[in-house]
Amino acid sequence: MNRTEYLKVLEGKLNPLPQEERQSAIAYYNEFFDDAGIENEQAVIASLGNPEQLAESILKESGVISTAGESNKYNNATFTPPPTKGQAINNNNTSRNFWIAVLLIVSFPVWIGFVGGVFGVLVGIIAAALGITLALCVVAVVFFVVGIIKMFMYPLIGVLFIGISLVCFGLLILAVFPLLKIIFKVIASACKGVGSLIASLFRGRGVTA
Amino acid sequence: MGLSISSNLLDALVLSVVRNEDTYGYKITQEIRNAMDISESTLYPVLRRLQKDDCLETYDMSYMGRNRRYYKITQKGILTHELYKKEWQSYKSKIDNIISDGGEI
Repeated sequence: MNRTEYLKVLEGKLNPLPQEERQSAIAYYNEFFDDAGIENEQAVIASLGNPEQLAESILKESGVISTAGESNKYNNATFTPPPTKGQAINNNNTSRNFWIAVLLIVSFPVWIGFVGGVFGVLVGIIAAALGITLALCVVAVVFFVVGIIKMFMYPLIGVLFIGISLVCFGLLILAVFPLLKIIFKVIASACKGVGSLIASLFRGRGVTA
Repeated sequence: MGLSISSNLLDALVLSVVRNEDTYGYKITQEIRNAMDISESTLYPVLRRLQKDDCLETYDMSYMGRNRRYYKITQKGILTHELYKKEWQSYKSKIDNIISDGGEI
């Protein structure tokens, strides 16, 4: 095959291209042959390879899809650096999240019982604590008042009531209030813990790179 | 066995050559063939793509009674080239790291 024949085949195969692009391509290769020199004509033809395949790579680049088989000249390992960790996590996350959501929905009957139970216990503890506190407060106040009143009639009984009331106040101040504080702190951090557990389920393995 | 070249890397090489000096297709091919044994059929689609992406523009000059089409880099081409250079440096040092001493993570 010589240059003219080669270019003729090429031009034919480039038919799908708009005329301007086709002419551009042929002009390029004409020029190429010229620059290479007549002595290198066959070498150039050899290097350019099969005109059908050449046409295909040109068509592929132009976005015209050809059906006659793919030439893999460009499908080599790319040197673009691997995606940053953040990106990789995002890509993993969306499908992970989906499956996590599915899992949660499906296992709902199982975990809702457990969660409900834990929640119930917590509520019970809080209610008990509050109840005791309230009771102590009421007793303290009421007994104090009653005690003072009784003082006028039955001093010793009055003293007894006031004594009990003071004990209640003491208990409240020394033990109950600090205990309440602790209980609330525990509950608060439990809520945080559950929150971050759920968040980490959806966040995936790493944090930011 | 050789290390094959990706189209991105090829773009980078072409942009480098043209950035250095306005030049024509055959000469670009020769330059790149100094670095690696690519087929001449590889180059035209790359030039076309870079042109379409506004990284290169062309002008014609008369030479020995015929036409020669010169390729010239554009501003966008220069920016793209700089990006490729950075990526290449990073990639190159990562590869060097692994190939020379089995890599440290």
